[in-house]
Amino acid sequence: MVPYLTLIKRDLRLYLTRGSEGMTTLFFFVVTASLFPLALGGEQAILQRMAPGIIWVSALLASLLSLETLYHRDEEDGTFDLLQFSPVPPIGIALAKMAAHWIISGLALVLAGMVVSQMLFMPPSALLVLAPSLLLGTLYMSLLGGMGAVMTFGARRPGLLLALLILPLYIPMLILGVTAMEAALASLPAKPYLLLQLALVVAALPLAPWVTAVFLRMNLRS
Amino acid sequence: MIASFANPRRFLKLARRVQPVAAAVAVAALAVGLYTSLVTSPDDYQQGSSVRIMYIHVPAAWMALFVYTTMAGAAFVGLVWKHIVAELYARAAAPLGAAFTFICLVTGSLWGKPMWGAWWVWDARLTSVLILFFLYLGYLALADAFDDEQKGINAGAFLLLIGAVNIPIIKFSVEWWNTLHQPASLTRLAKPAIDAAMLLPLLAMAVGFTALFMALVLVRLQTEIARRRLKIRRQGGGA
Repeated sequence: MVPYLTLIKRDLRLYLTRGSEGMTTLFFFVVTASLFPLALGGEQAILQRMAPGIIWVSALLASLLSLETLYHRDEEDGTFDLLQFSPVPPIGIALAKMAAHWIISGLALVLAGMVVSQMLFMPPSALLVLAPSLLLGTLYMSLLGGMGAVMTFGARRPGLLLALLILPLYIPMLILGVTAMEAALASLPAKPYLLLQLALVVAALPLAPWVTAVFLRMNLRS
Repeated sequence: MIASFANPRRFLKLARRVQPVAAAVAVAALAVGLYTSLVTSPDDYQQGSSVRIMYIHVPAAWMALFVYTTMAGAAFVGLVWKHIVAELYARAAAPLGAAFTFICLVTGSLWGKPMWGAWWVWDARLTSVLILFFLYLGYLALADAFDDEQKGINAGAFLLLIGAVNIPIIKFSVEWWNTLHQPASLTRLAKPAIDAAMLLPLLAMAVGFTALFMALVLVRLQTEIARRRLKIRRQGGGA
């Protein structure tokens, strides 16, 4: 357990000590989300109607943005190759990386999402659905995103490619997350959608780190 | 049988024999299919002549799914058994599959405007086919993004396997979500819900599209294998 925690702690410390860069994801999320009220006009009814979509798409893009800092930088300076000589198996490295990414982008985005939702006039009662729904959504993003990032190691334009690769796979989660929040806004039960979101996370939890480990090993060999 | 074609030379021998046959079948079936579907087949009692779009749209949609499924199957075989021809197959078939998906989307859109009154609706079937198109594009981008070719092949293979989840979703989208797109008229078990005068041109087109795909993918595979050999020669290895 200790090496895993060390790995996660290392990532968090690096991310935070990079100063402004550490906060970029969060700022990006807040700025993108607040562009919508400016572009659509500040009318309460429109914004309330669009709030779920705005929050989800902004969170998705922000999460994608932080992948590059967390993964490709470590790939460039050889950290990933060194890590594979540590006692942690590749699948453990993948899991630790994903956990770090989730703490940095996921948890932070959920908290920021609460604030942004109020800027978009979401009723406070909908927060009880927004929080777990975004929590599951960001977990899924960290799992798939980590896998996609490692798959694009050594590619010519990894950032762009990563977006093209991962965004279609996010779509089911996006649909479920937005439907859950729309149900909450219409005072309908949102639980079925949350459970389906959970099912996606549970399916990705063993598969994504495993595929990531395969690619980590492949990278080391070449 | 599959294993014996891991040898590119043996595969090429077969491919050279099958390719002209497939091309001939494609020309014949498409000629018959296009003539019967565009000229002699009856108008629909509701849709009028617009129904003729269906003869292109439906086979293209079948091919879009079929090509992706074969690519995912080949990706699996390539990953597990390091089967060279299977690895090259996915790259050879991807642009063709993307083209079929594109044709399916465009013809569907052309049909939707007069029939539904909109070029596009966010129906489950349409959306899932659009995602399939994105998957094709993502695969093409990924497979070509690496200087190390094998890396692109491996990464692409995993993407194909992950994206295969989408295939049953497309197939059953018209049954799971009751939306605008009509359900399938042809199923294996039931009597087709379509008259013989329309069924025969449709089947001819389906045969033509399949044969056309086979002919084209075999040419592309031969090119790919030749390109591989050239590269090995140039690097000074034996071929």
